[in-house]
Amino acid sequence: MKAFFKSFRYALKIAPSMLLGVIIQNLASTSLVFVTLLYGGNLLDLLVNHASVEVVQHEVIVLVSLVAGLTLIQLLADIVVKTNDNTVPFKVDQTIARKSMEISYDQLESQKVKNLVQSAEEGSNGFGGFSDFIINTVSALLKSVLTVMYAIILFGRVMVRIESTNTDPLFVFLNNPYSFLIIVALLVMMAFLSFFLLKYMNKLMYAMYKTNIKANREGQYLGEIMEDYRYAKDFRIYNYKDMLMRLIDSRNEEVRIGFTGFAKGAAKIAVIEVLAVGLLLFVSYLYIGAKAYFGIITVGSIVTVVGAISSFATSINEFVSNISNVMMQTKYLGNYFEFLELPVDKVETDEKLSGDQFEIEFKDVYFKYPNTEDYALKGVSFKLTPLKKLAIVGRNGAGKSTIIKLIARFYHPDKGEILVNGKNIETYEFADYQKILAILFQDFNLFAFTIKQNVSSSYEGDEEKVKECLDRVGYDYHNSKKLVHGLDTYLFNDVEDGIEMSGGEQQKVAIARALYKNSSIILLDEPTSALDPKSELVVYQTIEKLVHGRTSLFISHRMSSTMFCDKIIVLDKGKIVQEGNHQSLMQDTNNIYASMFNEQAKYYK
Amino acid sequence: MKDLKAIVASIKYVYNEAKNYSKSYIGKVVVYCILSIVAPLLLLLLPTICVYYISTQGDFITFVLVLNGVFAGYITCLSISTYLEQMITWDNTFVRLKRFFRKIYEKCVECDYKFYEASNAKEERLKAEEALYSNWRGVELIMKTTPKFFIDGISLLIFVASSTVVSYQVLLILLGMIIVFLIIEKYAVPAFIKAKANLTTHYNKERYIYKSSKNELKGKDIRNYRLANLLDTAMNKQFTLYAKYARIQSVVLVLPNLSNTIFGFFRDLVAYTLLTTAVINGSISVTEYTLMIGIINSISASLVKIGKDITDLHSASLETQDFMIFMNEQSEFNHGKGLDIKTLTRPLSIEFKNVVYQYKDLDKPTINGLSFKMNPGEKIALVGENGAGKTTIIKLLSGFYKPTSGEILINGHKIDEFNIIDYYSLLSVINQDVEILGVSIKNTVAVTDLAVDEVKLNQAIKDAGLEAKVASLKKGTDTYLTKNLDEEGVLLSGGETQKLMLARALYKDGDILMLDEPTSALDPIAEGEIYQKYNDLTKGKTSIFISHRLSSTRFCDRIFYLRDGHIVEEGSHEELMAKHGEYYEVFTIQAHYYQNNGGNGYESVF
Repeated sequence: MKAFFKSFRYALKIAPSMLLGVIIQNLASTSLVFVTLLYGGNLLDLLVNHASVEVVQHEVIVLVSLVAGLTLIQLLADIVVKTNDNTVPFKVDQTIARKSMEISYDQLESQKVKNLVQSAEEGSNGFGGFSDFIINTVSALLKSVLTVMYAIILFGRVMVRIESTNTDPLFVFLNNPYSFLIIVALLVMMAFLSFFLLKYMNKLMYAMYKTNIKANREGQYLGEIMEDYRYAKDFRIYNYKDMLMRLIDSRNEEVRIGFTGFAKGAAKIAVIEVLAVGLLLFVSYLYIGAKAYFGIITVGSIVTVVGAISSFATSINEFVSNISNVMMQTKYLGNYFEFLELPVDKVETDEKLSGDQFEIEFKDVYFKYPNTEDYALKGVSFKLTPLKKLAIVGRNGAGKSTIIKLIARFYHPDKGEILVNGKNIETYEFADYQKILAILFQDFNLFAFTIKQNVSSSYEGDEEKVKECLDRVGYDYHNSKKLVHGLDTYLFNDVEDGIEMSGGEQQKVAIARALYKNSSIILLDEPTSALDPKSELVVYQTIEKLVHGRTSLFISHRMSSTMFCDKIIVLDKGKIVQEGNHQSLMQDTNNIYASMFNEQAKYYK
Repeated sequence: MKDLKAIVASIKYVYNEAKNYSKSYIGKVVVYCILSIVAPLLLLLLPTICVYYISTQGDFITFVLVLNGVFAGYITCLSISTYLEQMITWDNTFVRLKRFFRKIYEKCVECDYKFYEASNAKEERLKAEEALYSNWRGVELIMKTTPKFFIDGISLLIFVASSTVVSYQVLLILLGMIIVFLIIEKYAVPAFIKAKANLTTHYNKERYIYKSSKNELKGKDIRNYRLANLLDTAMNKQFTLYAKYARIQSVVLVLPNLSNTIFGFFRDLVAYTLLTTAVINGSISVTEYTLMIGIINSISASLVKIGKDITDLHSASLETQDFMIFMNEQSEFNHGKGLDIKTLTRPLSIEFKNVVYQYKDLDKPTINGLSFKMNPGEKIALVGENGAGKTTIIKLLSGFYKPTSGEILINGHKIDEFNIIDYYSLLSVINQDVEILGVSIKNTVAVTDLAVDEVKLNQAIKDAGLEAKVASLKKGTDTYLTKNLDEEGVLLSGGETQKLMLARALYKDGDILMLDEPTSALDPIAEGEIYQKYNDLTKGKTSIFISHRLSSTRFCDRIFYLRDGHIVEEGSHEELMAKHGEYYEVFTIQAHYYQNNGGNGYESVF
């Protein structure tokens, strides 16, 4: 119940106009049904009782105007509701996106949070999402209440008796106002039946959902892969088609079996409902018809009352269904709220990092990734001294990129500490701490926004500063024919029609982005891996200029890129095995550094 | 008229697929239609029967029996038609998911590669998919609406036939209503489709931003560069546009109903006035009045329904047409009979003869009159700056692009002389960017989920240097990669992944080998190991290497140095070094880091 109110309040917040629209829609549509019945019936009575032309005409005009007016109101409300139906899921997505970017990196990566995100998505959009929640809630409350109200008024017309001398037992029975209770009893039974059928239906649906969830997810995965351009080349050259089609077909078949079972169950339920309503309708016509036959009620009432009984029965069904949906939706929405309310590691502090230069120190750091057995770093200690260039080299898997992620505070050390200017990096607010670091990740990402936006990391960037950074990194934007809109050209095609950049061009832009940030510390992980030799040389030659006035850390497995550093650390299987500068390291011919160097050098002899 | 033909064509296309899915489908639909016409007719009779018996004070028992009979008929029809309706609804969803989506996936995997690159080709594909997005669009909408259209249409005809008593005034108004409706619809539907297309466009853009925000690979940059604001602002911009089109779409949807309501007002006014007057002056009985009001209401309701059906069919057929266009896209390549590749003498020779290739959106050809010959069994290194055309050459040789002009010859035969699938079977390619499919190691190496040659498989794995890794896995080669299809799937490191790609290339044993920067992510020692294996891999094959690391060129017989789509230098490593040209320059740049044990630093080399 509490959960329901929470969902309702939230729905109000993100879609207030929808609530209004649905209320009006329901008021109008319910009134429409009853106006038609009421006035239609009245009209019939007037005719039977030979009323005058003027009275009849008046009734006609009222009927027709009300119908047209209410329909019009309903249509206008429709526009509002339909629009919201489209926009509400969009808004909900935004909330999930914001939260995703807010949580910490290790939360983002964790399987637990990933599952939570998936349930949040299903929760907010599954079963119709927020918009359906609003529609169902209002319908359930308003429509049903109104219907009952109207119906009761109309029933008053039926529960009458007339003065008569007829002793026919059938007549006496029909003349008793309480004989109407037969119908009422039927209605009550129908309500219960509705309820049970719905429960059964939900059970069926849930069972199908559970059995199909894996097949659906896998089928979706395979489908996305088959549409993904990055796989397109391999799929053709290596003739993946037959295997892929078989994989998809098997998932489809699984889903089909589940669905068919469900469909048969759902169909049976629908038929039972039809039979129930049919029975009710039949008894109603019989009862009301007989009453009218004996003159206890007017002919016109038949249409009115049978219609009312019918509407009443329908709205019982709808009410039960609405309530059930609302309950389901509240449950689903619970998943959504669980994600939104995920606690974010916020550091409560007023302390800010101050100064121009920062020293990062690793003190006997041990770290292993979540759900792994082995330590990725074992007792690593080193200092990143201000204004100096430090290189970390080692084979793939040695732990180099892990160090960067720890400096970036994406993970926390299991043992030991990481300090900035002597204080633990966790003392400061995350956003504040990020200001002092600019990182070029090995698997960096540029986004489908403009070049200017990518380099400046903001929606409105400083064009002159962007140009300066691109110049420093050697990206020739002046002469590039591809840049149709200059620096306002979009990258990739996901947001606007943009250009494709080669790996090397992207790397340059990414370095420019790091430069633009103007942080005191710059960390570069394999910064030239995609560059051709000439471009690579340009970067090395201008390294001094690039990192001037900053503290820098270079990671690479290629020796050529670290020789210019003041100090080189060699990492092997999570431990520091060598330290020194290039010359001193080369002298130790038995160790990793020299062997890696020679392995590369031999091609150039 | 054109629209009508398109609608009919779309309906035929969709039902053909449905028939292929289930032979009983059409039968179910026909029975459903018949019952759905009969049931409401029976229901319509009920009030009339009551009024008749009551106003004429007919025999009560007869009244009950007649009522009984009509009801029994009504309930029977309704029950069966409800059951069928449910089954048909699920069938519809299946046809959409199983047959139509499957067609798109299949087409995606076998269509020409250019559908992934040219921006408007991607648009075509996305538009085709719109016909399948939900059960209220495109193909499923056609399946839902066609029976409805027939039911409503025949019901209408029945009502009209039995309504000779309805006055001409009412009929005129109804006619006017239909005409105005059709006129509005003619403009409203395309406007609706356009709004829907715009909605989808902005939705897709929002999807990109949304997925980026929760993507863990992008999460690092997002946090370090504080990109949350940028993404959020971009999303807001998309939302503004999206909301605009949502409003337009809603209005356009409601417009025809608006017209109907206005006409409805006049129709009801005239109808009720005429009929009540007729009752008052005795021309018709109250029973007839009841019946006719019922008929007029039913006719109007039918017209409105038919109107909606036409609108739905129209918009659904527009989407279905987009789907059909994409499915009918012809390939540029030869998918029919070709030369028997078994008759080719191995190793193969490759020749480019005056090849020109221009990308659609660029104003200048990337490759402009390129000619070279690769001798049988030769190893060629392709070097040059970014953008020089190396990747384009690979794609041309891979049979992904057709030259704008010029020829590519294999043993003197044009690529077109081969069936393109046969041609692909000649190629083994290893790329820089590896995308791992979530199947098992065995499936990946042998590229099949059926039985494989285990001996060949193990040999390939051994030769690629993965024997130890595979042995360390509990399920061996049946271990799945990534967790997408198996909870116990594993993730391989960069080096292991490259070795896996090598194993696949080895297993396939293609005669033309293309390696595009395959070791850029590997450390020197792993790279060295792989280079040894590449050397073995190329025995008896004709191969092309692309790499920035000129260390790889030492394996090659000849080197082509590419600039602006032309080969500006060509020869063996020694020959090119002696030339002191561009290759020499680039090689020396890389070499100088390693000279004197790297004592030279980064002084200018020249």
